[in-house]
Amino acid sequence: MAGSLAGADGVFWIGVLTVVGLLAWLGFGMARNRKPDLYQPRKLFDELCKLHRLDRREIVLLHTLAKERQLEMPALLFVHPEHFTPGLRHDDDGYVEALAAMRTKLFGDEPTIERPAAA
Amino acid sequence: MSKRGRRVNAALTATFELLAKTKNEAAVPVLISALDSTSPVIATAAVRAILQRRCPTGMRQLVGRFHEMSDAWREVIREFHGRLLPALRDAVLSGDVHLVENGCDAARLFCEYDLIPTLLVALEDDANPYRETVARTLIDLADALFQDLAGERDERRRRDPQLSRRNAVSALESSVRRFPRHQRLEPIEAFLQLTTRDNAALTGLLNDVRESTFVPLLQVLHGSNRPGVLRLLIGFLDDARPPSAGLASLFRRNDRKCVDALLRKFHGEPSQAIRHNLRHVDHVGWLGEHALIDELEDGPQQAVVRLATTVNLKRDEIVKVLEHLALRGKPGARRAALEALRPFNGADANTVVLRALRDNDVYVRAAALGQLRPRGIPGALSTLIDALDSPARPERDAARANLEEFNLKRFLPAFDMLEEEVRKTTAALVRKIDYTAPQLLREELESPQAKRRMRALRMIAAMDLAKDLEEAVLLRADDDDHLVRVEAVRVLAGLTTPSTQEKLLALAADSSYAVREAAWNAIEESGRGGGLSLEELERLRESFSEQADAAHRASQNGAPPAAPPITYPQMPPTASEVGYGG
Repeated sequence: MAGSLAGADGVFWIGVLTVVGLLAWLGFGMARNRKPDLYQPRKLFDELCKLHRLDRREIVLLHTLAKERQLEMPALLFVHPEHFTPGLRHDDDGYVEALAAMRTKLFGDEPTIERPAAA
Repeated sequence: MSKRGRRVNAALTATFELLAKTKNEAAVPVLISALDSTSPVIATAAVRAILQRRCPTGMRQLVGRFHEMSDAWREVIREFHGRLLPALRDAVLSGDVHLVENGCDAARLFCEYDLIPTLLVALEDDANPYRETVARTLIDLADALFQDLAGERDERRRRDPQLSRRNAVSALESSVRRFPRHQRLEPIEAFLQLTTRDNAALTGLLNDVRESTFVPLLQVLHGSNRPGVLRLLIGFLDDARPPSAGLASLFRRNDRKCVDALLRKFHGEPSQAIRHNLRHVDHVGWLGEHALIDELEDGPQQAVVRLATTVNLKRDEIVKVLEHLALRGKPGARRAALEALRPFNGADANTVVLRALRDNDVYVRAAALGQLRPRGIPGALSTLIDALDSPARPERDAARANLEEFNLKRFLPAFDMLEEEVRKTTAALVRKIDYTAPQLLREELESPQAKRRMRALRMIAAMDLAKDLEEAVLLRADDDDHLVRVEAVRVLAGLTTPSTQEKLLALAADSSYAVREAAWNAIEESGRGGGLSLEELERLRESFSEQADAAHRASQNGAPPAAPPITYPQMPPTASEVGYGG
């Protein structure tokens, strides 16, 4: 009788271990296959700032501008030179000049582009 | 551009390079937003970056904006040929009228042949409300691919049109087999436009009348004006074992385009394979349409003649076509038709030949002349003899060619047996017909037999060839045989050239009495005596005769026979000195 109980316990624990192992394997597999979140607007903005070697003051300026223009993605500033034209209510000459300098830095006076080779 | 400007532009370039390459999906809405930029440079750079990223959302945006695209955008898309294809597929199957139209227009503009399978899916869908748009696009793409195949390969497209054709034909072939389900003729037309005559599926479908696609295939083969379909039909002619339905379709069509394409095949002599295939064709629909034939140029009309005489038509049908062309065709075709009529006997063909004798074109008349005697047309001989005097060389040649029995070789043995009148008539004919007669007579004058030389001289006189053969006759005037010399003198009697005059005067002192008499007769008859009166000539004659007799006697007494010691008392001036004949 005692022998049969010991055998039943053994089967139980083997079953438990098997289920745990299976769950662990599935969990690892899913974690490994899960794609990283590639949609990161904030990171894109950082990448662009880094690309253009903008300093903290310039980054703050872009953030301020993005907030002012109510842009969901600050990275949009890098493709829209028209956002760098100050609004009428701005009378801060320093701010206006900074925007103009930034616009020129990112787009130039006449925004033409050098064509890279076709991929 | 300033140094600063160049640096900044490089910055903008760097921005778009990053947006094109980064794995961050946030770049996509940024690029899509840039498409709306007021700066064309930034917008075009965004198009390029979207295509580089191959992002479906961005490419869908491009298709959606196709109708308002600038040339710069289109150029960039052309540069990235094939990148837009997934978006075009989505657009065609989207069910959105705007996207379907844009997708179809873009496929046409960028020659996206790989879209054909997708177009077929859309076309075969009964529920698709834009089937007509899709069908038009399918046909246009097949046309463009056909032109691509015919032209030079565009290396910029980095695409082999033959490969595109194979893919397209494979998809179209499947669609053709599904015809009972979709009942659309466009896939069949596109298939026939692009396939080749050695396509096994095509041959199978055209050889099996029980196939559900047999009738629609014939329907397209009979009605389509697509160059590829015409090429396919014409190509059946060169096939060793063409499907009979295909061949029958070709000859059933009577539209100008097909007729022109067919006749181009007959510009030269048809090949053996074509001749073999045409033996099975017993009906050509348009051959009875004279209005259509009349519209054709000379070359194609001549091709009609070749075609009509190669196919297996009934005798009356062929003669009818040839009759029409011989009487109302262009000049070259009239000649060709008359020549082609040669093997056809009968009153109808004879009438055509007789009417052709009054044709404006000299070559047509010549061709007609050539058929008079073989056809046994009454009055042929007199017509041909009249034609010998035609001012037109082709007519004279044709007449000569048909009066070949009047030649010198046949005339020579018969000459002596003919009556004078017949001899004269025949000699005149032989002179006109046999251009080799003078040469043959020249050879005859060199014959070792004196009889033949004499006969040749008489023939020269009868044929009035003395002037042409003067030199050869003058040589015979020195012949050893005095009878030959006499004949030569008679021939020369008709000439007034200085050399002949001199020779006649020289012969007036010939050792032979007969020759002297003949020479004096010739001089007197023609009134040529170096300006001397008849009495003076008579005295001169007597003096010559005495001296000649003396020389003859001396030779009989042992003196050398040659160079008789004739002196010329009161020798008249030579013919050249008094200016005879010249």
